[in-house]
Amino acid sequence: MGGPPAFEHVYREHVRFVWRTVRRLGVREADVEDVCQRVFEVVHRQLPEFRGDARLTTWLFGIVRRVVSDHRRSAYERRRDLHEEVELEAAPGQERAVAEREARALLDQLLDELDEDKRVVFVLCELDGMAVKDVAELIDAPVQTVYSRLHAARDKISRGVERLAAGAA
Amino acid sequence: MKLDDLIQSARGDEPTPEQLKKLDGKLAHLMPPIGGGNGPSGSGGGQGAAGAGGAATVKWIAAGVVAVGGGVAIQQAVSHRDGAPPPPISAPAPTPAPIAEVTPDAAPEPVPAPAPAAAVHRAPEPSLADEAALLDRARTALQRGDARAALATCDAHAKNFTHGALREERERIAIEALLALGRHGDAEARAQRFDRAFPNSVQSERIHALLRDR
Repeated sequence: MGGPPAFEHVYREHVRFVWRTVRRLGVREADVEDVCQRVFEVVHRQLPEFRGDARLTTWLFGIVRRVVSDHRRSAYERRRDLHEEVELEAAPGQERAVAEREARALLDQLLDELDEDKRVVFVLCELDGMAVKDVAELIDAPVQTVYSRLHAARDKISRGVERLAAGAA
Repeated sequence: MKLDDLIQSARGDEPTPEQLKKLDGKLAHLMPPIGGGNGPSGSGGGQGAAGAGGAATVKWIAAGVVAVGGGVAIQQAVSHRDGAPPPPISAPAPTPAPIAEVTPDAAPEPVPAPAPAAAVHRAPEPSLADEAALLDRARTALQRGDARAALATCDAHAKNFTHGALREERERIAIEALLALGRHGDAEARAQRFDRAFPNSVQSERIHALLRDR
């Protein structure tokens, strides 16, 4: 082997995973492309320093988390949120599409109520369908920790769903 | 409203072929030129990208059921094996993203002035290119033996890019500069802060090697 993998290979192999993960970790739809671009620019810059003793996917996921959390912290993002709410309300269109968007917005809302560690586990296990042991490797945490975060996240999300349902009734 | 419905609504989080193509274009400047050797795909043009992306069905969602037992290799779970080859990079059209001068101190906490929706538009984010340029300057200073200038440049980076994507790299350079200035105690203290802030960083091995070597 020897030497880090080619950037192009890393990009093509993982771009879809990065995209949907960026979205699910709390980046608004309109910003996903920019944040993905940033992720891969960081990957490109740091790839020469990547060593085989870490898993590429773990390393990549670390970059995704960091870039996403930087993005979310920025004032830019918050201003953007305001804008999107207005857009949602203004969107007419077919009922089904609107319902789907609403469901997705509610999912965002519930995910936002989780702390980052639980959100990551919930996203990877529940939305991406990954096995707990794979998630443990990806985030470099013990399996037991992943289980307990998943349990807590499910619990909180379920309660959130009940709350929303009660509110809608 | 059921949890499954909400989970299903995340299916659309996959990028569309058009979105992938746009991202390809933005990153094309980081790829080797077409025909330049080791590109894995036969790059037949833009159509391939759309086709491959379009074939990316959402297999990853198991109707809201958590797959806790299946021993799927992580590589498999992370990358998409949809049978289709990854999209070729077709548009060598880098978007240089002109970056406005960053003044993070001037834009700290959001001042949610109730701006009319139409007026809310994309405020430029700090550019990675600017960030990288600053760090390149710090590294060059270090290489020519001007550790003081390197450290000052790292400080400027910390100020201008408080949450910059390359702050781990900055810290490594700063620690190296501190060591070069003979400020071992400061270097150690900074390394400890680094370890707390970035426990799994790829830089940490190098930082500790630097500290050991001095």
